[in-house]
Amino acid sequence: MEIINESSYFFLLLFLVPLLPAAYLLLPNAKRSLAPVLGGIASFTYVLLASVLLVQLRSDASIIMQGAWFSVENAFSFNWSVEFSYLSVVMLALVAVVAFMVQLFSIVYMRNDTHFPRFLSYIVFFTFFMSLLVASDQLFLLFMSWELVGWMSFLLIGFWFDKSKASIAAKKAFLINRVSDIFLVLGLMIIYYQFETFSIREIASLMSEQFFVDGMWLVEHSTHTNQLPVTWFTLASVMIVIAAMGKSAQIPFAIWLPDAMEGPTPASALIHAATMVVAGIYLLLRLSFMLSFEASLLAVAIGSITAFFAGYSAIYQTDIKKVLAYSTLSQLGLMFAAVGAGAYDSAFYHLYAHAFFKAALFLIAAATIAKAKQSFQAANKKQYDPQNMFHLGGMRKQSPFLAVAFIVSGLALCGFPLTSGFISKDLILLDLSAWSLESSEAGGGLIPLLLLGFIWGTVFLTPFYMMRAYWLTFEGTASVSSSLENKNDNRWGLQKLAVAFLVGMSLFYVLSWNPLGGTTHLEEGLSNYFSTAVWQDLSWQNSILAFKGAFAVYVGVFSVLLVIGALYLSYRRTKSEASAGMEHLLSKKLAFNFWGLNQALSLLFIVPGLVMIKLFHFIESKFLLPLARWVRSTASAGAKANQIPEEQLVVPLVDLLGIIMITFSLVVAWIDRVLVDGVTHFAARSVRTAGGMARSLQAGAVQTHILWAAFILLGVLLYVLVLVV
Amino acid sequence: MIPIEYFLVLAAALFLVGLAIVITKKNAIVVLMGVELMLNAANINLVSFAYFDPILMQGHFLALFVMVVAAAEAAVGLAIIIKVYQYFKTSDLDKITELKG
Repeated sequence: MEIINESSYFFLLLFLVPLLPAAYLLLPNAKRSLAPVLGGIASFTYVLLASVLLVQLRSDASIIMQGAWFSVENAFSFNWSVEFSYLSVVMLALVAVVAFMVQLFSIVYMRNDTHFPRFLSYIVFFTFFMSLLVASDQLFLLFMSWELVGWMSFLLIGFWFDKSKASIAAKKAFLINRVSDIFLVLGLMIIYYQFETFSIREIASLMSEQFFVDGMWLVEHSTHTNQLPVTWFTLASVMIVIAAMGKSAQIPFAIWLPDAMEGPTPASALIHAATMVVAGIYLLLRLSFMLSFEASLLAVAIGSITAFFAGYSAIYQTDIKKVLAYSTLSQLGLMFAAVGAGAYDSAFYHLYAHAFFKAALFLIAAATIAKAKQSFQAANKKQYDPQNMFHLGGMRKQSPFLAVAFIVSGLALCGFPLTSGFISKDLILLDLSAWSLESSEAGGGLIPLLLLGFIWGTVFLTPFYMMRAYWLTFEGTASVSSSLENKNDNRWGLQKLAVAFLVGMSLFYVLSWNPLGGTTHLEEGLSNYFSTAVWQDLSWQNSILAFKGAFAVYVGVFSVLLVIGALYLSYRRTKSEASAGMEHLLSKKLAFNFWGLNQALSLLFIVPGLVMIKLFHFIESKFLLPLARWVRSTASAGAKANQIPEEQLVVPLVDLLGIIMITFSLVVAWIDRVLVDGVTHFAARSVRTAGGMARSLQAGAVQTHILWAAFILLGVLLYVLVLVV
Repeated sequence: MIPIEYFLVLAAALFLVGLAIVITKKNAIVVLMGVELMLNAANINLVSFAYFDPILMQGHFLALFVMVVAAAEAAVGLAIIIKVYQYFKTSDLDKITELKG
């Protein structure tokens, strides 16, 4: 099953090599002219490494490398371990290839940016971190790279940090992801408590030593048995699902992804469409054996709801990148639902197919935006937004290549026959239909059917918004007649190459030689990787299989009819929409703003904080201060009434308060002066002293030199004495 | 016979006095005198070791050489000080900071 080869650690070091040129490009004085070569070679190295692994790998074997990492007080020792299984190597190749294509594209696309080398460097670093995430077998290592890719996402969203919208979006993405990451930490804690290891492979093998007896969750180790109530198992798997929801931008965490479009478009293509956002789904696939029934249900529900509502929002967007962002949310929702339904292989096929055509769509959008920007500038129409589809229009005449590429990859996204999207989406639909009908029969009632409705609704919505985006962007009349058509940029070829490659990778042969589905290339390898979900018993599996056998053709035909119907309806509607302009959109604000999810979340989490602050302020100003005044006045009034001199009752009280306050402030002042200032002063003085000593060497005074010489000689003598005696 | 440690302590003390003079005195001529003290401290060491080795008398001869060299050095050193004085109009070492920077 596995090969543990100590000598091939060397191979892992190769993954670090491209980081050297990447680090060089981060330097402020890195040569711009070197950036394309270094960045391109660094990215290509990952493609090479991934292809070496792909060639080496047999479908039933996985290469595992591990070593001691660190230990805590000799009680807990942690290994790092890396697993090149079929799943992780395919994923690794996917990441490397898409990253390389995006890098090629960016070499041209970003070349005039002030921070061009930094961008290429980030892409390389991201590829490395993502490879680490994909390959790591150890959950702690996985968590580390999980955070690191989140960090790279933060840096790339906020790449134009001088644009306040971008830096706010970056912060938003980062913070929302931290919230969901806390759940990952909590989930990992429970897992470690029970399994006493972080290695996914070891946990998977311990699954056979795991039992559920009398409401207890038992894990038998060789010397002892760990037990917890079963609730903890559910809790652990639900927390992992929540963590994945954050990374894969599912409702309610979804709000960060549309905002993330503030970053450079190639970065969106790589990180916020093809690779990083699928890390959540990838995590669930790696830990599929841990997913309890409840967690799976959560995943299906969240996934189908996100798929439908994000798809619906995509119909009302005006920004072409936002359309693609909502479409990404929607497709991620489909994958999420498929994972929840136990259709792990289908989810991975869709992840795999989606990465190529969505990256292609983003790169096409980037090229279109760049072209539109040029022609807007040439026509001196500054008020036009090159990302706004209502301002675009007629781009097909400017660039037929982009239009054709958009059509092909867009059809792949819709799930049109002959594309990879058709195959993977069909499988997901079949699996989810089977799941929903079976669970509805098994006592789920209407809810699974409703979720299935959402899924099929998504299938209808996808072609709808893609047709709209295509029509508004590429057809119709151009808002600016371009004069740039004949100005051929010779470097456009590299961009064209990247786009053409990715578009080529969105056709059916990527998944299967049979354009209508059937066995896929990945099936054999993945069948060794995924077992059936833990909550599926044998009769369930049989009825699912029976359903699939009976309805496969119907599901396929029906989905194609739905796609064609949606394309036609959208075509008719968009034509009138394009002539009506943007104004009519205002009535659809709810969908345009993603159902007010942003506002709802801020109402839930941020407004309470603000209300608390207001409340405390209110209590202090309206209640505490009047109370103090009242105490003082009543005390003096009481003193008067009881014939006690005021000094005896009021003054001691006030004095006591005063003494307490003064003592307190003295303590605070002492702390401030001695501890806070002291540290600062000490730091400053020690630097100054050290500087003075170093400076005296260069003061030109002969006697100081002699003194130093004497000291050094003394030092040498002491050293010799200590060493010899 | 006087133990050798006595000589060595004397020589070390004399050397340190010379070093202190070299490091602290402002006047270049006094510094030169400090250097002479240090040389003589070395001489005491040489002679005292030679005292325990009466046959070859290598130490005595080396001490004589040192004296000769010290005399030459004093002559050259004084000459340099005179030239320095002529150039800088001072023999205060704290003010001669041409090497600064």
